[in-house]
Amino acid sequence: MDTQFKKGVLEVAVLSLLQKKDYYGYELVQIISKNIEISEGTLYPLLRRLKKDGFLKTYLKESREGPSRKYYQLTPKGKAKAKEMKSEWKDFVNKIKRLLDE
Amino acid sequence: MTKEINKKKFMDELKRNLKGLSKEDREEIIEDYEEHFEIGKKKKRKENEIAKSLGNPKQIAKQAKVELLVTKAEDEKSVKNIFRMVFATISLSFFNLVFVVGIFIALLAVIISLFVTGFAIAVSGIAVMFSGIFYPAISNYVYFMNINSLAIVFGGICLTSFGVLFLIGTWYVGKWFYILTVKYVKLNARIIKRSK
Repeated sequence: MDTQFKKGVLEVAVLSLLQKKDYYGYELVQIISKNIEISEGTLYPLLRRLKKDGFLKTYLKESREGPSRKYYQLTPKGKAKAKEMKSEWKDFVNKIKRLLDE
Repeated sequence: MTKEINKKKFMDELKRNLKGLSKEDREEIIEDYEEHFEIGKKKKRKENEIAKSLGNPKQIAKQAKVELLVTKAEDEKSVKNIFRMVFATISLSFFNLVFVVGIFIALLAVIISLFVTGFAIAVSGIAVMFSGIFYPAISNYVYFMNINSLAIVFGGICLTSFGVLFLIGTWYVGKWFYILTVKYVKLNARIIKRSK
């Protein structure tokens, strides 16, 4: 897959997953890398950037098995961005689908 | 990069390539991957398998570095920050070294020369203005055509205004160049490497 394309896909995938619930990094990486072919390590820089841009915030939570985990959560700004990006993507996908079906 | 990679090798390589970042940024990045290894091991994955699927630590470190430097160049605009960002990007790929840096330096030189030109025009305008003011006083000694001294003063003012306008224009060009450079680096640096 084209790298620029993948970059956009990853961003919308992360934001969309976090709309439903908060995830810790490892979980997010596993879910996404199951569906999209990426090096698992490249998702963390993306998460840090989304945090720096104010779309995400993080908090630590104890886990029953082992050390505390860093959870990612959408900020209000991130929620708005997630909505916007999702509808843009759906629109885009529909248009492409129509084009391919023609 | 050797074929076999384990946690220690991964973390060492990562740390080595994160040099130049602030202590907090470095620690945050390292913690993320430490946590990834910890949780992976709890899920019964092998250490070297986790390291392998994370990808190339050198590439990850460089990517993280560029991300941070881009944010910095956007937040506090300075020549130093843009240079740091551009050079971090160079280390990301050879392509940028050959093509983009040449263009970057050439454009930077053009902008600097435009600034110098604008400044020179403004200063020479001031000089002309003063020569107009003092012309009557020295006209007995130096004969300089038959021009009204007032006209010389006005000419000087025009020249200075032109120089100042030129500087303002160049300032905008410089700003635009800064923004464009940041955008370009962003576009190129945020490449997600294919696994394997």
